Amino acid sequence: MPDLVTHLSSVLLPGAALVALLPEGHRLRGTVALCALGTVLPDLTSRLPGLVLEVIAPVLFRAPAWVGTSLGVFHMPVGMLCVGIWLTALFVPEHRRRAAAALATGMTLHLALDLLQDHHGFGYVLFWPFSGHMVELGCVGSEASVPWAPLWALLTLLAWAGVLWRQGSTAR
Amino acid sequence: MAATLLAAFSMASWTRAVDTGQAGLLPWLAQPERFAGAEIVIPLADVTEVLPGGYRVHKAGKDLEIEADASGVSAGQTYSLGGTFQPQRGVVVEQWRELHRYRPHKKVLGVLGILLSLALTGVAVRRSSNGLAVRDA
Repeated sequence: MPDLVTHLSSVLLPGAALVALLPEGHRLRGTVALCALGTVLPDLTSRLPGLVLEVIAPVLFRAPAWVGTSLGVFHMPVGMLCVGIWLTALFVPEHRRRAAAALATGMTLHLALDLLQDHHGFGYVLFWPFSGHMVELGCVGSEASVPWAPLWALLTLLAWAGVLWRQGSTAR
Repeated sequence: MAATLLAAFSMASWTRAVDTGQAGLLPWLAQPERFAGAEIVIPLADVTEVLPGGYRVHKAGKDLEIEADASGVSAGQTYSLGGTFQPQRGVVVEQWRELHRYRPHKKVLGVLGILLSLALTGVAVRRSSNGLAVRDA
């Protein structure tokens, strides 16, 4: 996976352009933020619980290995679909379609960026439970995004500062 | 309900497939006879200990012993490596390894990303009387 800052920037940077350029763009800020959350959900749901369990293992208890293995499903399309359905159900009915679209876009973008990487043939499982075949395009190294992440973060910050300043001055 | 059943089935079947070597990163561990002497790759493994004549890595919940010239290797580093599996001795004889020097930086960016995500949650949604609502929608 590219780092989480790059994943967030992959939505927030073009999202700033959409919010700035579209006529009712200011009404998209929440949707863009939700889409950005969608880009980090696959890692947060599949890897974060395992890391937390590893950290607490010496202090509290060691979780069996199958716990971490089973959570890997949430980095696959089938698991992302389930997470998307669960989260969408938390929204009021009139916002569910918008929430589902934002989360689905974010999670799809996450997978698209991940697929660009090279892990020596060990890519990502896309078709579980039908097939365990791993797919990757192998265009960039697994840490290729890291040196660029501060630049993306800075550009994202500047873009949103510009958007908020412009919308603030328009409102006045 | 259907999503929960689908998730439960997918998680159970994936765990079983990994345990039996039908899927996952380390199928050779589940079927040692079949993979004896085979060339294998272990991507992104964390070094936990340097041993005389090699080192130990942790990957996918397993500790694996690597037979190699371990000069330059230290605990905490992350490597992708290739080698041949020797099940009789329970080791992988290393043929090549690649250091992932940016891994620690990536972990820091991961923590930063989690914190940013928490902040974004407040921007993305608000609570209403009968559930969550998308802000500004």
